[in-house]
Amino acid sequence: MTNIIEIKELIKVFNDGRKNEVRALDGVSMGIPHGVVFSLLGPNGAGKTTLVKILLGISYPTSGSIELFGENFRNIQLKKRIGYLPENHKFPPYLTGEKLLKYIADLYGYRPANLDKRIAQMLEIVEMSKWSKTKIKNYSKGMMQRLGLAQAILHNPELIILDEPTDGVDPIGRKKIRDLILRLKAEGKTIFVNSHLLSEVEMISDSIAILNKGKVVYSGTVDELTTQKQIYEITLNREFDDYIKFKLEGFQVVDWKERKFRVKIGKESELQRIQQILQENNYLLLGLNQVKTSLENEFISLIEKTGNENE
Amino acid sequence: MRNVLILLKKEYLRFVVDKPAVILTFLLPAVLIFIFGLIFGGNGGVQSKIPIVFVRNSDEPIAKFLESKLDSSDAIRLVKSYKKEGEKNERKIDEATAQKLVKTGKYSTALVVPADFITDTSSSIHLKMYYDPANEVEFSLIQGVIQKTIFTQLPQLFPLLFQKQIIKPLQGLKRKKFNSDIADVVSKYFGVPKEKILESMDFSKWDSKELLKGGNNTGDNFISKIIRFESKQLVGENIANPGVTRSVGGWAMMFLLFSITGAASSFFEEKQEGSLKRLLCMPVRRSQLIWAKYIFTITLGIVQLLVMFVFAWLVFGVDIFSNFGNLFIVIVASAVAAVSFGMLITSVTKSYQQANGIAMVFILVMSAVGGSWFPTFLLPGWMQTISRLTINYWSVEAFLQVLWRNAPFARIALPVLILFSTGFIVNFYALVRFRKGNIF
Repeated sequence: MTNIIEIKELIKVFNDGRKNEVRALDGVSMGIPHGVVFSLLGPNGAGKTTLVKILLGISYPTSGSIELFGENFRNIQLKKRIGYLPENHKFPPYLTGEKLLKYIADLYGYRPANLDKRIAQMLEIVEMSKWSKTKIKNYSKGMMQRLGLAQAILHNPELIILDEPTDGVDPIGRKKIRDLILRLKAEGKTIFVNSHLLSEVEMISDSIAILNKGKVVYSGTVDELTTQKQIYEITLNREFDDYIKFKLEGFQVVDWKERKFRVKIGKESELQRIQQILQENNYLLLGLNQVKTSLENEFISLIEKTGNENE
Repeated sequence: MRNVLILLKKEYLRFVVDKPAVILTFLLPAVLIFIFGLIFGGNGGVQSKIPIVFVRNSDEPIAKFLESKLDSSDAIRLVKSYKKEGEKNERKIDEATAQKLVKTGKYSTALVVPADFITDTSSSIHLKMYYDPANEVEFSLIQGVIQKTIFTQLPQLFPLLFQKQIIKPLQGLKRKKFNSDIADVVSKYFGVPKEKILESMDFSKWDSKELLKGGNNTGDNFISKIIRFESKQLVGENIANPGVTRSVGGWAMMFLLFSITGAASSFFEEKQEGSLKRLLCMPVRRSQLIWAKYIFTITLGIVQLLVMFVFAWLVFGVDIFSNFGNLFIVIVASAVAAVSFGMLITSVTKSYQQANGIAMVFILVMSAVGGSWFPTFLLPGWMQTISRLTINYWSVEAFLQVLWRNAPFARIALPVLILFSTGFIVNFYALVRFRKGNIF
């Protein structure tokens, strides 16, 4: 299966005209397959917005290549196959929700026979039917975000780019947005999420990429990131002595606490060997639990390791 | 008190970092004071002389002397010949041509010294003035300069004219008796022979050349009776409201520039609120966005100018319909030029605030220099040259031709061409700038 987005060696350099160059993107390469929820993560100034802008044709790269749907991203007609929810967007306040969707459909050249029905359907999906004839200037932030989602998916795009989709939305609203994203994924759409809310990303993403200082510092699944260094917490029947500590020196024990300790396991055989050592030394294993690190922890760890732009 | 000082520091910092505010606070007033200073303070170097058409049909030495004095005036420049299109040599201007030049707006005033400028029987000198009061201030100034020149440079003329005025009612024999009686009295008391006195009183023997020697008389109200100005307004005699008709174009252009710049720089607002980004994500080209904005602002400009002229018609009776076709052409040309200015400002600035600050400076300066506020002849010569580089100047010129002189298209062709060309060239440059600029 070809990737819906294929980015190779992308470089974007900003020049302020005073010989001060900023490399916003520094050799970014990644591929995003069809029908997945992909999330782009990174601290402020990592280059996320620049990458999204380039994908959307708002900005152009200094070098490198991007293919969307297997074609050069500069083909303006490809934009018809992309839906976009901008961050902190403001739609014309004098339009109603319904009229905004008609306006957006016109600009996309999306003219199905049943456009009115499609618009009503979209507003229903985002639970905005009741407000369809209300002017946007009267909408709350949450309503604006839902309307933004409706306009992003109105023209039935194959690729949907969502910039901070749950920004300013309450927990119930966030759950609804997550459900909608998963529903779109089930329909075969590819969702590209740019978000700071790592917990949200963790819940919905099939794959992620973490950018830092314009470089991809991680690309893969959330599971791969959070479980690649499996940590197990082992609970014993009694406190361990120095001898057993000595015996376990060859393993990556990260934390000793009375009758418990945590150890990083690279291979399954390591765990079996630890169990064997404990048994040989008359320790009874009361508990063996895998400790999974959170995306947030791994994110922070990665950023610290590769250097934080904000420091 | 400490808090006040801290807050005060914050206020100063906020002001200093707001560049448009700094420009508007210090630079704009300085520039405007400079322009007004040049006009009213006379510190702008050599003030440009006002050109007037001059025709002398009298060979009287006094007429020639008047010409030479007017020639050396610091305020006016006599135009005595002109080159017709297609001709190599300049030709002398006659009275009919002088009238034509005024009627077509090439010059505002023509002064004709007629063949009967001064005759033996004259009780006054006779001058003809043809004028176009499109520029009332200019016309008044010219009239004042001519009068001043006559009064100060030709005082010797006045005794003759005074006596002619006095003896005018003493016709025929009465005059002779009056002269004889006077001669008797003078002869009796001063011992001068009566014949000599009578000879000196014979005006027909006075040589006008002699009159040019010496004398310190100056004029008073009575003097106005001895200089007969035959003034004829050649243009705008039937205009209902000359003041508004003359100035409406200039003001309209200035307000057009304000509104158009605001509309063009709304790109920044759209950028800030994210709607521009949203549009660019759709199958919409940047050029399409720019053209849509360009066409919108042009139509807005056209409608705004139409509304202003209709208002002038409704409230002040300015005649906009007798030459409406040409008026509409000038409106469109002005709108195109004004929009290009707005687009240029938007394309070279980085924010809405910056665009508006810079636009404000340029619009006010262009309006002052370009003739929207006052006639450009008041400016020093070098600044009059600069004024021709402003779109206000050409727009004001074209509106004046259409509304004041009811001119045909041929007479507005040049300003219209300049406005359209400026519009297209500047807008093309703005389009190039937009691609590299900060909007997208």
